[in-house]
Amino acid sequence: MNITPIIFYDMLASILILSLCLIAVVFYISKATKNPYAGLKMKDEDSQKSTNLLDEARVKAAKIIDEANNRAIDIVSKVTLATDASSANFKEDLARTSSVQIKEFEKATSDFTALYFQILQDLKTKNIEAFQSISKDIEMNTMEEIKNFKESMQKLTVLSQEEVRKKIDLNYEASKKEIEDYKKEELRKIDSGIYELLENISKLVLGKALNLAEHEGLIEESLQKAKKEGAFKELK
Amino acid sequence: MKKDVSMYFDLITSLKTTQEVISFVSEIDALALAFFKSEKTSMEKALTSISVNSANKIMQAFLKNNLDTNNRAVVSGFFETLKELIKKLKTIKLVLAFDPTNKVIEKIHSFVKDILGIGYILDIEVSEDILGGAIIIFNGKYNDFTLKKKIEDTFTLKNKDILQLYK
Repeated sequence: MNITPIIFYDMLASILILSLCLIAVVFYISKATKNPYAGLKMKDEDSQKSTNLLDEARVKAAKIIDEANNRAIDIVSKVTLATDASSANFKEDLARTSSVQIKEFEKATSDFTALYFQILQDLKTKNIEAFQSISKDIEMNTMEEIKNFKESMQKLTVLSQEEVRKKIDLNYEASKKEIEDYKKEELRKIDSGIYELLENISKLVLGKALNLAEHEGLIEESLQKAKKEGAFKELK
Repeated sequence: MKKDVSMYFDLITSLKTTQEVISFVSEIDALALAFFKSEKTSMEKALTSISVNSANKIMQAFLKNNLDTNNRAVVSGFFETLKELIKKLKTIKLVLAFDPTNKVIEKIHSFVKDILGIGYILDIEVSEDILGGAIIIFNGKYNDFTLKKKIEDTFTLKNKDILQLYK
């Protein structure tokens, strides 16, 4: 039988309290009966009987107390024995339980380790698959990106070429316009003085301004030249 | 009716410019309209519908060639032939530096007749820009004999010298 230490100590405390109570009762009774019994010795025999009875009672009480003490000691020793036995059993049970627990723990650990490795393996496999899948995805995405980049670059290149061509055209047109403007400006400058210049040149060439006869002469000369150059030949 | 060109010689040679031709043709049309309007209309009466100058020239042509002005068929044939011949006149376009007087036009036309023969009329345009001489356009051919052209050519040939003069 196993007794837990709490119950054991409770029982021991109860016995001690009961013993103390019993000692107190015996002490009170012996004190209460001592003086009246002394007065009675001197009276009569009836009183002697009562005294005897009291002595018997006192003896019995002492006997009871002794029995109670013995029982208490017996109980205490039994309890001690039980405690020892309990302790040994406890140790044995503990050792056995520990052993069982250790074995179970080892088994559980082993199972857990196996499961853990299995899970790890699965995870590894899944991860590899995932990585492979990711690698393929990355490859596809990368290829797509490269393709898009290439197309974008081509478009950009074409656009850039177009832009450059347009700019060149614009610059060319602008330069052409500048040249034209410059040419016009220069011609305008020349034109502004051309008639004066022509007059001067005419005077230089002809020596004087033309009169009507000279005009007519020039016209006739023109007609003669035209004839010479075949300007009046009929078209066939 | 015979188509003797000589009978139209005076009339044709009297036409010197395109303006004169246009005017003369419209006068012929007006004359024909007036003459053929009624059977009773005489040539003399019809000729009053046109300028005196043209009327005289036409009348002279009729008289010179002994044509019966009362014969409507003869008159009609005369007008038709005259218009046909006028259509055949060749136009020389002249661009001149001044507005020529009739006398000058006559001189130019006479000169043309001398060097080219009859059958030419002048289409005269004035452009002072050419300074002198003439631009002659005939049968679509353009010939520039102007003073301006000569000066431009001089410019081209003696550009540096002229520019030096300009400065």
